[in-house]
Amino acid sequence: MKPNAMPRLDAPRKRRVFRAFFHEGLARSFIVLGPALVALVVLFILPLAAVLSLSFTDPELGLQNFRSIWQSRGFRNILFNTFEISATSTVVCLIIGFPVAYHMSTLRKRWAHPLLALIMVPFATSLLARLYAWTLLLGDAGIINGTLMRVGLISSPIPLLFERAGVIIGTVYMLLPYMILVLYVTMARVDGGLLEAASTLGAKPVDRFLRVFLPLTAPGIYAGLLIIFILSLGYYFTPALLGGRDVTVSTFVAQAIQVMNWGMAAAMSVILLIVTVALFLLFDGLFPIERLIVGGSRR
Amino acid sequence: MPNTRTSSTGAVIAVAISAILLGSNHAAKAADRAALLQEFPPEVRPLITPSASDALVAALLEVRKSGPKTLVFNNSGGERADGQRSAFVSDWEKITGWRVKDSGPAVDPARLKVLVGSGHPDIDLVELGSLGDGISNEKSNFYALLDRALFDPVFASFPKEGGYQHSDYWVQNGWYSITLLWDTRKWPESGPHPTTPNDLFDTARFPGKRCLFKYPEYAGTLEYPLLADGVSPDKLYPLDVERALKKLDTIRDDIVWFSTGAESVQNIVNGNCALGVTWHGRAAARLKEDPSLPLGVSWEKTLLIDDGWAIPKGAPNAEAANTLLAFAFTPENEGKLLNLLGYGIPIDPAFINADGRKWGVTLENLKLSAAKQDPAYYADNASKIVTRFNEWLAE
Repeated sequence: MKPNAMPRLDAPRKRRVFRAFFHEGLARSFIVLGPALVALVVLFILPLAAVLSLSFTDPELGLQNFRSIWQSRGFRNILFNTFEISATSTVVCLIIGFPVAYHMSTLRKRWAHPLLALIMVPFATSLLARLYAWTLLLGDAGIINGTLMRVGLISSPIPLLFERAGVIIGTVYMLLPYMILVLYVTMARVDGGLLEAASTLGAKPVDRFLRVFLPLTAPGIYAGLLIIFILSLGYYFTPALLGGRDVTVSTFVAQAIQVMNWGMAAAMSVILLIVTVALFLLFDGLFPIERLIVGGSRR
Repeated sequence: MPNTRTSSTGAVIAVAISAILLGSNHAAKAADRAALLQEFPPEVRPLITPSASDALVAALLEVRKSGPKTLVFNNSGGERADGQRSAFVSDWEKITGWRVKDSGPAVDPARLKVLVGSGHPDIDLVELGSLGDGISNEKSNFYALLDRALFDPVFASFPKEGGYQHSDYWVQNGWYSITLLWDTRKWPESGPHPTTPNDLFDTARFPGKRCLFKYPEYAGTLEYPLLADGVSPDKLYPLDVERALKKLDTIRDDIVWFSTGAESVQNIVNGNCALGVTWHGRAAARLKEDPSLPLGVSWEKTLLIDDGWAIPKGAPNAEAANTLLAFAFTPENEGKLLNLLGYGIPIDPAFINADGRKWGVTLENLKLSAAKQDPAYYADNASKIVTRFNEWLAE
């Protein structure tokens, strides 16, 4: 090829690019970010692209997988079930986790830290062992129903195991520690002086909570909700072991992969991903993340 | 597809064949066999089952000389793996000096595709979820050819009336029966109690939750509703899936879907279900351990599902895996499998004891069942069936 055939940059521009690259830290950024970038491409972006392409090409090129999901009540329900279970579990996590985190944040570090450690204890045991333990607790003849019946509160067992209730209980149990941790971190950083100031200025405890404490802890609440919701969307063992007729995206995908229906598995995953990202963007639009991080914290 | 192993074992086979051709009289053959056995250390000679073919003994010797190495045996673990170990794995380890490492859980076709696709699978022997998997995996070219010098005598020994199948790539290891289970605290054996899987659909006579398996291809989830609906056993395949689902709809609210093998028995024991289905070996293992468990088991009019083994294509120790498999299929070792686990092929009744006769799929127990699953049908349709089943489940 003739050298003249190449478009040539004029010298000053070339130098500018050169300078920008080496002097303004771009090269350094590349070196620093390089490994992470490679890992991200190889471990995340390529597999994701493979899933995306499978959803359009397996068993043949076309939209047939998406069409059959769209047209079938059963398949649509799989998606609804998944979001419903995740949303319910997330709200329950908040309702249970908030008071716990609040109480811990009012304690001295000497007491709060051992409590935090206790909350982390379940992470040290096997996930499957814990889920099997739940099957013993939740069954019709299990400890919960047995006790309630013996005490006389109920006359016939409440269906918990292999029902929606069991899946939600299991999911909440698995994710509650994350919610408490996220909330605790935010609450512990709330400047107590602001609450005192509110009291001094005549705010009643309810006002102090609703108008000072709650807005200050909002970042933690949002972050907690988002983390729990997104984590629970992908849960497999909990619905597989504690659930019954509820098919979730994860259990469906697992079974579809097993019988080599990779196209449907991929299409279902792609839809889950798109809806999740859309929800995230919506959430982010309503409550911008950057705005959440500032506030009355002690930074 | 070239069979790369033939060259490496050519010598062994040549020796075996020439032994057969040259040994025109019985005495010469016996002498060859004795000479072969002489090459093993004295303490392991008694472990080499007398009915093992000369080709197998020669191949075992080759494996012994090429070792010691580690063979990876992928299986479903638990009592199954323990039973196999005491039936034949640990003897094979002593005979060859190799070590057999169990790896679990059993690979499904998807995982096998990835392993074989990688070109260097890290397993030498796989258990098939069903022969349906075997047939479709064979079509997908996931398996290595079985060594015919070792397996021709094995295939010839299978009892004809059992309907045992094999191909050039996989071999059936008997049938398992999807037995009916019920809670004897509700319906004692002495009184009226459920007797066949048809009773799963009789909620008037036998009220309560019924436990069915969420993976319809492995436990009669679609066959039992059809049989109960009056489909004749020889007309079961191709499955009328919609008719099966319609029948399941009649008991929909009473069904508890379980998804792991252990749950099938546990759910009856802990009262989560009044009746259900399980694989006969599961019930047998629990009842042998604790006969007081409230479990009623019936083999009557059940579905039989097949089970088998194969060697993944590209397995690092394929020849050793061939000898391990052929060794498992000696009549003595299959007898031990039936006695210990209830799964196996009753090649020679002389090796089956009372436990095996009660809990094993012997030719007598086989006669009690209603139908055999059609692996070829599942090989072609499992994907469609399972997807439709999940769609129905979520409706």
